[in-house]
Amino acid sequence: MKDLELIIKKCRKNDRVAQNTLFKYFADYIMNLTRRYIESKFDAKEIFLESFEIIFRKLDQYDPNKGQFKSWISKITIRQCLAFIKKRKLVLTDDILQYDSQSDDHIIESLEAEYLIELINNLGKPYNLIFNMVVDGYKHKEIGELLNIEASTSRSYYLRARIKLKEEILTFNKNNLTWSEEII
Amino acid sequence: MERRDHIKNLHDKLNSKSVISDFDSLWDELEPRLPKKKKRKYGMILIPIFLVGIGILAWKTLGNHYDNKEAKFDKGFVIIDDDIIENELAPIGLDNAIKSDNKPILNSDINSNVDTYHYAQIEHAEINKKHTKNLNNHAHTINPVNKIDQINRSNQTNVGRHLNIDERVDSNGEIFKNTQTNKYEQRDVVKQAYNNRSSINTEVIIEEAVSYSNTRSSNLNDERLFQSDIAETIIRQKNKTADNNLHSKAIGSPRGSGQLVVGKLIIPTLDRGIISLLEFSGTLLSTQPKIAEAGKALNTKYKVSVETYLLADFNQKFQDNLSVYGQTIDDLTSIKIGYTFGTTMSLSHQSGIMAGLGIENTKAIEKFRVNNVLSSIEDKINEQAFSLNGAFISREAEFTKTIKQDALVYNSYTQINMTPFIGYTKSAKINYSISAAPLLNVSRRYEGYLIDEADKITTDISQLYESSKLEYNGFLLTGIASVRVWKGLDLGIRSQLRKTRNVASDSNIHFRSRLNSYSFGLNLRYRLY
Repeated sequence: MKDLELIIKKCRKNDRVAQNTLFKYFADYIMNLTRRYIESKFDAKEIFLESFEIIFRKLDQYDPNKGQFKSWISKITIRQCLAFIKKRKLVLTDDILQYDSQSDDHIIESLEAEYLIELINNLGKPYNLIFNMVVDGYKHKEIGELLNIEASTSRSYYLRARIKLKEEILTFNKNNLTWSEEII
Repeated sequence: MERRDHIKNLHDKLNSKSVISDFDSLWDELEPRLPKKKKRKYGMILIPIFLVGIGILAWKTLGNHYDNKEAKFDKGFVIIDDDIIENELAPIGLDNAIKSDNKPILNSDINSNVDTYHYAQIEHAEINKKHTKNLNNHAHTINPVNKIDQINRSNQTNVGRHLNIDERVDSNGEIFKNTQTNKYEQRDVVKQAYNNRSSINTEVIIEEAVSYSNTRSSNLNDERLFQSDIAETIIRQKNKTADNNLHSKAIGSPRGSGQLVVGKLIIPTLDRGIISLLEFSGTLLSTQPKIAEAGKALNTKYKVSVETYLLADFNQKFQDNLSVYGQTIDDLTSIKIGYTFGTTMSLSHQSGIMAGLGIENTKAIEKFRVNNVLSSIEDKINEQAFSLNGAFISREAEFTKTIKQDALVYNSYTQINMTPFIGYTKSAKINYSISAAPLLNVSRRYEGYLIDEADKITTDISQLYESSKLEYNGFLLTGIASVRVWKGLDLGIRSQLRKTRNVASDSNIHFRSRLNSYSFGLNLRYRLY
């Protein structure tokens, strides 16, 4: 985006035109983030609006030297999502799984985004939550701090999520293949 | 592949999906939650400055209005003060009371003053009666303005005053020269009255004064004749007020307080006296050019002028681009010169402060140059399939449409702004004035051709620039140097610095444009009054 700094500068002065421009540019991104964390579309929309409101109100606090603007707004959005989830009193238990493999990465990446999002959401909490946070750049230590769990617990949930996701993808592909064969 | 890359790829993939179909409805929900726009400080700074300027002008004007009264008082009364008071009123003990309310009455108590008023009235009625016949014939010799200067110089001491009487006599023409002998006689009488004031009964003084007045020669100068008449008017006013005052207050009140009361009462009394004086002298104005000019001078404390001007503008454009389209527009256009014409009406005080309201029309030329090729794929349904140069063309065919655009156009920005200004003006051989004004947008528009978001040339560009909202949109600094070319008409050079905040419309989400103009041209000012 051209002149993002200029637009941010204008947004800080609450210039509506600039805010509208910024909103339109990042709306999809924020909505995608929100929808991955919040299952309910209605709640996701509310979190989406809350996130933008906070983004515009806290824009003075954004420091380009500390990171990209996109990272900054995604952190704000994810924090809003987590705050919402915490209100629902999601309880996480420490259940450590010591397993990690990179061999199934390509399986996950190979799937189209919309199917992948659907499968991640189907993982259920807290797997989908921690999986999304890892994908969004959080380290397990940070996830542990945000969710009040040990970093090792976060890692364990993530690994389980990946295993489950791989299984789901394989099942999806199999079903898809069957469906394709049936058509043929 | 590294795990980090895998996560990044996954992140990008998961967030790349377009999920919002209606941005506007979401924005409509979000916008009310956002804090309101921070207003620019310029207006907040300029408005108080403007108000302060108006306040100072009003204060000066009112202050001078009050001063005017005092000036009129001086001009209408002090003349009498020196000639009449010393010669005629001093002996009866009214001189100090009439001259100034802050000077104590030296000669007598209130009771004696009451008596002397009646004497004085009788005496001046006689004087007036005696000299009214000559009044119309000789009134042209009265020149209050000249007398003021003389009186100011002479109003130091009693002795000085007497000496200055002689000076005035000398400086006021032949008609006075003939009366010198009488004047000296008169001065002696007055002097005697002053010297004896503290010890001699005021009635004795009055007798002397009456005696002197009655024996004054028939060639007594005309000014004094006129002043005698005026003095009578004033004395009558004063007498009436003093009578009222004394009826309402105990006659035997302490000396100090009595004087103070009288002193306070004198102010409105004299004021009314001056009104009477002016009413009286008004009958003379038609036949007395000098007096008319003097009266006119009193009313020139402030001037009302209209100005009109035509300027050449040297423009600079600063565009903040908020989208690729905005950048494209910026690349294809370049600002050129323009012109401004306008008119103002101003009120300027003699101290130099001025304020007013102007309206101006500004036009800035912008060069638009485009040279591009547009390609688009369009569907075409042929009547039937056919073969062309060996190629098979189906009935439903897609074809590439290519448009070459080459245009050079001069577009124009047009702004109409109101300019309530304050400033300072200095009148000399060359009149100078400077002023500052906020620019209040009345309307702005843009005419010509541009490209649309699909890069096609279009004239439908009003939404990018048009605004008719009355709002603060920058400021204007003006400097004028002019010379008088004809009666009330000044011709001069005007230079302006104009800075606008935005010449694009509020709904323009692609760019914001600011125009700075440095203008030079002719200025015509006509003083209405």
